[in-house]
Formats: sequence, structure tokens, C-alpha cells
Amino acid sequence: MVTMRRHIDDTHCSEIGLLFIAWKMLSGDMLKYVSMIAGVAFATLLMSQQTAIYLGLAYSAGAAVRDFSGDADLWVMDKAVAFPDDFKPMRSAVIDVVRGIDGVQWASPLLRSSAAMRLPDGTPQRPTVVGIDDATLRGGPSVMLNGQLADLRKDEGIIIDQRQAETFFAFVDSSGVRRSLGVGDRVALGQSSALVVGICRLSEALSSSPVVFTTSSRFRSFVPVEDRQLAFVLVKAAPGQELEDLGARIARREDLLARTPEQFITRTEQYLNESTGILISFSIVIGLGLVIGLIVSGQTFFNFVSDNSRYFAGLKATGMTDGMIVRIVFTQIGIVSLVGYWVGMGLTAVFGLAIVGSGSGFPYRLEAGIPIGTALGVLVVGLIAGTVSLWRVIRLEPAMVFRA
Amino acid sequence: MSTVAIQPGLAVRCRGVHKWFGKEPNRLEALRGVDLDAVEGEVLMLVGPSGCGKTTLLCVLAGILDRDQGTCAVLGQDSDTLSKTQRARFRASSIGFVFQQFNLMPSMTAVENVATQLLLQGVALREALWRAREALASVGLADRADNRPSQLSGGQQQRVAIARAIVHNPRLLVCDEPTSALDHETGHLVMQSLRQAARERSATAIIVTHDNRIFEFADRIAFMDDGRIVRVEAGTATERKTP
Ligand SMILES: Nc1ncnc2c1ncn2[C@@H]1O[C@H](COP(=O)(O)OP(=O)(O)OP(=O)(O)O)[C@@H](O)[C@H]1O
Ligand SMILES: [Mg+2]
Repeated sequence: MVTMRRHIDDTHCSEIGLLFIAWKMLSGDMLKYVSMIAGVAFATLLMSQQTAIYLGLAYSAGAAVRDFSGDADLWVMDKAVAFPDDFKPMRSAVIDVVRGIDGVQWASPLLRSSAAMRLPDGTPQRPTVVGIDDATLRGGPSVMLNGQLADLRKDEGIIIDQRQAETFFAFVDSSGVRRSLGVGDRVALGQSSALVVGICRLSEALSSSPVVFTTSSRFRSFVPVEDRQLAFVLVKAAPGQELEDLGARIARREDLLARTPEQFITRTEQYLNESTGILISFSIVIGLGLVIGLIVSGQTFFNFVSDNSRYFAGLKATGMTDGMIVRIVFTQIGIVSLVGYWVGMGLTAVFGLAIVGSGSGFPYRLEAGIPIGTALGVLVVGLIAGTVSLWRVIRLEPAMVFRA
Repeated sequence: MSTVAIQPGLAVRCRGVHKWFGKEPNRLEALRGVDLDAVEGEVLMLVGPSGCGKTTLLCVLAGILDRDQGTCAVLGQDSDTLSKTQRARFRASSIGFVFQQFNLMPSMTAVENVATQLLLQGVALREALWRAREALASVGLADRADNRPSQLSGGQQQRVAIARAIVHNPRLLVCDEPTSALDHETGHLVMQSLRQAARERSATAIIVTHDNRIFEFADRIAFMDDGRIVRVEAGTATERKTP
């Protein structure tokens, strides 16, 4: 009897055998199988795609900081400024004060103001004019598609962004064809005339207002005196300077604020989250994705298990242990989750490729953390759905298989 | 609860088995002191009016339901001394089941349905499928092995179920009304398969039935009424089957 007991204890269902039973059961109801996968895939798509869009938006909010920092260590600005497009002008003397502070290697002004513009065909526009340091051209666009940053020093020279050239600055030329503003075209800007000398590529930014780059000295000819604004000062620290100390020194002297590019980007994203409720609405959608996934796939899985309770009861009667049932149920929900997850991630990637391919500039950042985070979400959904359904199977009375 | 003495030659030995369902005041006594012996290798039929406790007794014998009183040894094993998991494994290795409604998985072919019983015991898939094919051949369904249940007649489905019940060479077969979903002629055929399969393996078969037309396949017939075995008669099978 002892040997018999040992023999009984040692019999185990092989993994392949379990997988076989689990799969046969699952594939027996293709409609449910497909709808469970669709539920998980939908949840996956919603979670990952919405996160990618949110990250894209948050990223593009800090685009200007990234584009114009160059090798500057600090951005000096009015204390109240929360994001790059925030207009809180400083006294123009600030630039000289900052240059005189200990530990500052160089400081470059970033001027900005809006100015009236007329396209070659007379269409009015009101772009932001950005004036950068004449000598060094620091704070200018970093990617040039046509012409060079140095061309800005040419008479009346301005540089514009390619995407904006195709949209805001598109006009009907003398032959009646609508085209984008390009190098060599002449426009009226402020009180003067301006010549497009270069086309740059700006990162996809949250704000879509048009921008025109020029030098600080020419800035004065485009913008009326009373509107001249020192928006930022870009600062390079002397070698060996602690950025924190230097920033504190600058802030003390002029009652301003100095931020590293990273700090400025973080503040910008924080502002975006606080002021727009964007984080909450995306969180709601992502949460909804989880809940819908749980309801659709969880409920369908529960129905699937219930529909098969007769076979589960039969298997229990004929010798399936609770341990095997746990493995079978979780194998089934595991298959559904895995397939649904990959379908959903595939759709997310296709969606992303379509957006990037369209060149619309729609922000979309499919970062490495997204598949992992989404997988965790799917895992949670699977664990909940699996556990609830498992509970039902474990409680099944095997004797029910004898009742007709 | 004391264990019954193991008696050589007895596959099943039950004494004073009671089973209650539900709680007071709606408590129902389904088994009221069942005494039953099944000799190794015999075909024992269990008959009686509806609701007299036949299915309940089968479930208690097989360790699917717990008895509330009495003693019961099945194949030398008292299920009371086994854990729930051990009982499941005992059923997987030593008992074969045939249900009234066949209970075949519709998405599995005949051979896959039969092989499932072996998978529960840890037999590798390839070997399980191969042995399942042999078991199907032994009930005359070699050419139907790859059909799904929906492509088989009722009698064929029940023979697949018999193949599943015997594929692991159990020492005890437990069948609840195996022919009542079938017409007379088909039921006869199924009983022939069942009796032959049990004989070839020297397995004991306990068959619950309403159908007195299959009594001819019984070695002994136990009559049950109101939760008790009231009488046991010798069947006619041995004489008739041995020319
Ligand atoms: N799970 C249960 N809960 C409550 N009562 C039950 C349960 N199972 C069976 N019974 C009752 O126990 C009694 C015996 O039932 P059982 O199914 O054993 O009868 P049976 O002889 O197999 O009947 P039939 O020939 O109709 O199948 C019946 O009165 C039945 O209603
Ligand atoms: Mg019954």
C-alpha cells in the first residue's frame, strides 16, 4: 500500500499534455477565442498608443529647449516662466549683468517678439521673431535642410522651418501655383523687408505658432522698439563651475531663475500636466483600456470556462487534480493574453509607423518602457480574469458530470 | 472512521455507507446504510428506481463524493485515508468512467479524447495518442479515430468513451447508465464492447442501469431502493457468454 501511494503521488501531467488539453479546449470555441484576443489586443493598443501619444506630447513640449540649447548649460529667464513659449520679458540690461557674473564663460541673448508679416502674395501672418546672438549664432536651429545658419548674417536674412514653410508660409506665386516659402523668397516683416536664406528643421513642438529666426541686430529692424524683448539668456559655465552654485548666483543678482535644459524641460512637462489636465485625461483613457480589456476578455474567458464546466467536471472526475486545473486555466488565459498582447503591440507599431510615415508631425513616442508597462497591464488583467475563472472551476462539483 | 479489512478477491467492499445532502431541515439522506461487495473481474449491475441513490453510490465508490458514515475499500484503498489530490490521482490511474452523456470534448478527435485520460497520468503525448488508437481499435473504431464526436453516431461516441475508460488499464470501471441515451440495438452493441473490454483486462465493472434489456451482460445484479441495496441476484452472463 505504501508503494502504491508513492506511485500515485509521483504521477504528473506533462506540460505538453496540459498544453494540448488547454489548447484543444480553447480552440474549440473560435468565436470566444477571437473575441478574447480582440479584447486584450484592444486594451493593449489603447494603453500603449495613448501612452505613446502622451509621451510624444510631453516630449514635444520641451522641443524648443532641446533644439536651441546647443552647448549652453543654463537657461536664464524670468521667475514666472514655465515653458519655452512663455512670454515674460527681462530687462535688456540683464544680458550684460549675467556676462559679468563670476563663473559665466559666455552668455547669449534670445530675443523674441511677434511681428506682422506679409507673404509674397500679400497674405498676412503674425509669426514670432526670434533674434539670436550675431557673433556666435547660439540659440539658433540646429538642423539646416537648405542653406546655412551663417547665411543669417546676409542682408535681411531670415530662416524658417520647413514644415511651417509648407503650411503657415505657403503662398500663391506669380504663375498662380500654390507653393511653400523657400530660399530666395522675399517677404515683408515688421517695418522692413526680409529674405529667406535658409530652411531649418525644428522638432515637432506642441505649440504650432510660426517662427522666424534672425540675428539680434536685425531683430531691431523688424520689431518696433517698444516690443523688443529679451526672453532668455543662454549661459555657458566656466570649466569646473558647479551649475547649481552658478544658477543660484545668477538668481540672486537679478531676481531671475536659471535652469539647466533638463530642469527647464521637466518644468515644461510639469506645466503641461498641471495646466491642461492632459495627464488626467490620458490616464483615464489608459485606465479605461485596462478596464475594457478586463471586462471584455475577462468576461468572455469566464463564459468560456463556464461553457466548458461539463468537460472540466469530467476531467476532475476522471482524475485531474486541482494543480493541473490551475495550470490549464492559466495556460489558456496565458495564450489569450500573449496573442492579444502581440496583436495589440503590432497594431500600435503599425499606427506609429503610419504616423511617422505621414510626416504630419503628430507627436508619437513609442519608448521602450511602453511595451513593458503594457505587458504588466495585460498581466494584471490576465491574472484577475484567470483567478476569477479558476475559482469557478475549482469549486465545480465533479459529480455534476453524472447528471444528464 | 475505521478502515475496512482488505479482502482478497474483492474489488469493492462497502459497509453501512451513509450519505446526506444539504443541511437541516432540508437534509436528504441519499444513502441509508449501503452494504456492497464487488468481486474482482465481475460485471455488477446496479438497478433501482430513479432517485434511489445509484449515482450517489457510484460517486462515493469512486471517491468523487465523500461518504458521511460507514466504511468503503476500493481496490484495497480507503479513500478516507487519501488527500483530495491523491484521490484524483488514484482515479486517474485505477478507475475508468463511462457517463450517460458520453462527455467527449467536441473540439477533440476520438483519439485525442481517449488520449486525454493518459495525459492526466503523465504519459507523453505521442505515446498517449498511440495507445489511444489501440484502445479505439479494441472497441472496433480503428477507422473512426480521427473523427470528431459530431461526426460519430451516439453508439460510436459511447464506444469512444469506453475506449477512454479502459485505455489506462484501470482495475475498476464505473459506468452510469451507459446505454440509456442509445436505442436498444446500439445499446446492445455498446454493452458487448464494454463487457469484452472489462474481461480482457480482468477489470471489475459496476454499471448503473435502468435498462433491463441489458441484464444479460451482468454477472450479478444488485437491486437498490431508497438508499439501500435490497437484494443481489446472479446474472446470466457467464452461462450465456461461455459456449
Ligand atoms: N448534489 C446533490 N444535492 C442534493 N441532493 C442530491 C444531490 N445529488 C443527488 N441528490 C439527491 O439524492 C437522491 C439520490 O440521487 P441519485 O442521483 O443518486 O439517484 P439515482 O438513483 O442515480 O437516480 P436516477 O436513476 O434518476 O439517476 C435523489 O433524491 C437526489 O435528488
Ligand atoms: Mg443517476
